[in-house]
Amino acid sequence: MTLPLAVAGLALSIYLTYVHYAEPRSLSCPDTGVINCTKVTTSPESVLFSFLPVALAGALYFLVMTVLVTPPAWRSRLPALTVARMVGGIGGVAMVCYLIYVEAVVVHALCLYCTVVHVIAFALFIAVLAAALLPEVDDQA
Amino acid sequence: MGGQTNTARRRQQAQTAREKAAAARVAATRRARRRRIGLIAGVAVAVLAVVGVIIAVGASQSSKPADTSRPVASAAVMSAITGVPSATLDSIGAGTVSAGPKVVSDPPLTAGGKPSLLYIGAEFCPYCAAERWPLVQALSRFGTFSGLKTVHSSPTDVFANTSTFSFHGATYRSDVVSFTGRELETVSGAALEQPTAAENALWKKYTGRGSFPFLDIAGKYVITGPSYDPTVLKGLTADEIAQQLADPSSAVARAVDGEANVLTAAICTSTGNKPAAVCTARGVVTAATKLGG
Repeated sequence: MTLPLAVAGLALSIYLTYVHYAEPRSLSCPDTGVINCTKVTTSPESVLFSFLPVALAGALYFLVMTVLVTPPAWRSRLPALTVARMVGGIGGVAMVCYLIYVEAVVVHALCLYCTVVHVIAFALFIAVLAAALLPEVDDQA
Repeated sequence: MGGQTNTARRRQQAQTAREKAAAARVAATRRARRRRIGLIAGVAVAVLAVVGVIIAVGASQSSKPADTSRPVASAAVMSAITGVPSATLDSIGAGTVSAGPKVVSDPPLTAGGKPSLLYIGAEFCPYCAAERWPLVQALSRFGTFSGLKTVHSSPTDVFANTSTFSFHGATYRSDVVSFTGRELETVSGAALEQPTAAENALWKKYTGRGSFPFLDIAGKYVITGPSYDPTVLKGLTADEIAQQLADPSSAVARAVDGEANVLTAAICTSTGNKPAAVCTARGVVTAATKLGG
């Protein structure tokens, strides 16, 4: 279950990264009222530390998580992989909370694509947590 | 016989003890599993609660009064800038425009299948303040702005407090042309918007380290500095500027309407001269002589 989630997050993040660089205003998303993808993806907060687009950071994150939740990675009993998955999951959810803060409090607009990515990151974290605490649920199954 | 009975009883007791121990282990495992499931559910609920609080805070803030530092452009101003009589525009032509757009040979700048204009400026910038008036007027001949706000340029820079618009938060819709307006800084110089990498590359290509205002018209023309003397707007409110646009004898109209005609002529070269009524207007055709100059 974790692998499809990570791949879906990676695909969406790559799309958002492409749009960020190619044509930020071409997102097929309503741009009125609270739902306004363009307002979110072109806001100053859409770039971290003045050089790293959030979408690209998301793509890199999901790329790493995809590697960490492949079947060989799950079969490996290396403690470092388990720790990395948990740290990744927690870090992902923490970033999601920050980005929701930015959307809700700073930009006052929600991006549908970003919200889907946030839901995926949250689900991925819960799945990784479940796999760690309930060994019989892990992705070897 | 009695020894065999005792042995069997002891075996049965040991078997029972093993079964009880196994049952206890199973029960303990189930309790541990329930605790872990409870922990996972608790973590999920905690995260969702945090998200809920953040959204509630955002919702309470967005219900507060709007930012009054950028009042919405009044209907009177918008009506005046979009309703300048054709006779006025035709008689002014290029007016007192001092510098026309420079010709460039970039790949066509497009968005959504339409020729696109890219404006990069800042709210504090006095030359941007001057350029926005004709830009809004010219673009309003091809489409409609909504959400335009009014600001003034920096009170501490040259041409201080020049009344103007801000493209921040505004939207523009047109069937023939697309427009992207970036206001990178506020009147006080705080960061406001950020150009994309592609926009930044175009901006820096023509302005070096990056200066304001910058206007790219479909990859065919660029403007990198003042097109007319902003002195004509000195001390005037937005309403006063707007009202003077219809008077061909006013210095404001000769500068703003003239530059609007020049910009219109430049845009028409990318729209295939559509709309014809706009692109073949006498004032626009006359102003076209300024293109490249």
